[in-house]
Amino acid sequence: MECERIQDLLSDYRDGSLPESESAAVSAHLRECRKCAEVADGLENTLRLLRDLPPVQAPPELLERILRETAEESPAKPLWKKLFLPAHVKIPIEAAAAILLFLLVYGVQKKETTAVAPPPPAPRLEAAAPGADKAIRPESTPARETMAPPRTAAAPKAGPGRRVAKRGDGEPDVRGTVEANRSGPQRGAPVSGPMAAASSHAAPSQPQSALPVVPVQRASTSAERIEPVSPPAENAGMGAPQRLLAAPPSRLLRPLPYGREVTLEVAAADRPGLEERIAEVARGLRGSIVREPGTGPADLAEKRPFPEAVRVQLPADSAERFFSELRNLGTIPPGGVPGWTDLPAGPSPGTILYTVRIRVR
Amino acid sequence: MDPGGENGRPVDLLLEAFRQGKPGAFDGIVRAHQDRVYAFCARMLSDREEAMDVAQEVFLSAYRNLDGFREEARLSTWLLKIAANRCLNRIRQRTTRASREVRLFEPETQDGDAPAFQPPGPEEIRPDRVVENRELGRILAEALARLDPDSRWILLLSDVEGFTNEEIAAMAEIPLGTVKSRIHRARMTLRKILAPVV
Repeated sequence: MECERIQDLLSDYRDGSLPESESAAVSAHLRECRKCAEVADGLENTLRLLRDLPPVQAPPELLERILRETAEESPAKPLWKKLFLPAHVKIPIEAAAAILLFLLVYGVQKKETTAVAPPPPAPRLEAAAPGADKAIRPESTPARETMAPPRTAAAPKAGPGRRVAKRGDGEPDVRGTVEANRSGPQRGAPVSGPMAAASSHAAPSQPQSALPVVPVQRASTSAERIEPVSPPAENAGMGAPQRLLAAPPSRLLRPLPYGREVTLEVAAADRPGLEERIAEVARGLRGSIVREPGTGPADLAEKRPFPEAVRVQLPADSAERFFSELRNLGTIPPGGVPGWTDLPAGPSPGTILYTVRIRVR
Repeated sequence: MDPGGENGRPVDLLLEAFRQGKPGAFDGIVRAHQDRVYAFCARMLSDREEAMDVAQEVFLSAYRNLDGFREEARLSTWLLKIAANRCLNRIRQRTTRASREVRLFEPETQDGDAPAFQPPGPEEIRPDRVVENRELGRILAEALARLDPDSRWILLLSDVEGFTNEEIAAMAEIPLGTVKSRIHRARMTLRKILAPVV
């Protein structure tokens, strides 16, 4: 039994892969057991014979046959092998290409998502006159006059007073321009205050005659139909020519909320009825109050739930006077008017929009 | 680097040259490895013609697939792995071909064939040692042919070609313990066959 176990270990013993204790046990057994020692000697002689096997040379015709066969095959790689790289080269290249493609698609999609962000809901005008809240609805405006950016083909051809070209079905040509709006007597009038800063920033290098440009159309919130912007009825009825504001290209792509916020601080004693006084100032400047969604004329009368802000829409040239009137009602604290980067342009050409935030001292 | 090349040239340079399409590169690879591959096939198959056929298949297979060889192992290891598989396939295909087998190390024929094996060193140049070596070689070849094919190829790789147990396990894709036990069993079987002379 012991001899059988020892003989099973002879290869490992001879290769030196046995643990030291086991190797010592095998050595001791081989010294004592003649039979196992003979088996070990025979194994050693066998391995020596194998190790000393004489070398064998391949016959010369082997090389000839191999070279003949390989010459008959295409010396170059087969076409299908030329087309496909080895796997160890191909796989890293394909992985890198997949990552690049993913990053490219991701980047383009992110850019497009940003570019086609839906515009803010169109503010509805609540004019002083009843029924004026329908003014911005295109279907209720009989004559729509829109402006085109200067890069459109129709712009250079537009003459003074040119009306919007109508299509056969009565649909307005949104590319048309209205030269009358920008050729009024106040076109070159100096404008001071935030509006001047905004307009000079929006088109710093253009001559003043090229300034009056606003987007001619805006995407609806449903993003499915193009809704031309028309001036409110009350503005159309204004005798004074409108001053149009240039809009940066970014507004065409990513409309910003109209207007800017103005903070008005008043004493607690002056707070009651302040909204109405602001509204009166706006109306005195031929402006109007922009109704917040969910509120109606009754809210304005009752002052509840009138928000702590009043949104007014004014003719573009009355900004300075509006601020003067606001200072009569209260105090505009430092920082109460944001910087010039916030455009005061209104929702329609020739108008500006302010949100007056009321703060009680 | 593969020092196995008999011409002393590093085989990886030959491989690189072959991949670059340089003429003569594959000739160099064949010259560097043909003796080892042929000897292995001859000892496995005990038939010169079959050994030459299989060796030719091995090199043609290598010629077609060298682009996919990733040099994780030595080129000689890769070639001998192909050779072992091809030899085992041949042996399995044999049914009634035992009578056709020609002993590899038969005595030289009268028509002047090259000697079956060459003496390994100057001491063996002595005529008495040559005869002794030839006789031992013949006996050993016959004893190897009596081993079962699986024992034969593992013994040739281990105790003739000098591969480690780990290399054989990787080549045959079997566990290391299985390799050890198979080698031991093959050695003991061969010892029994050679018992009258060892």
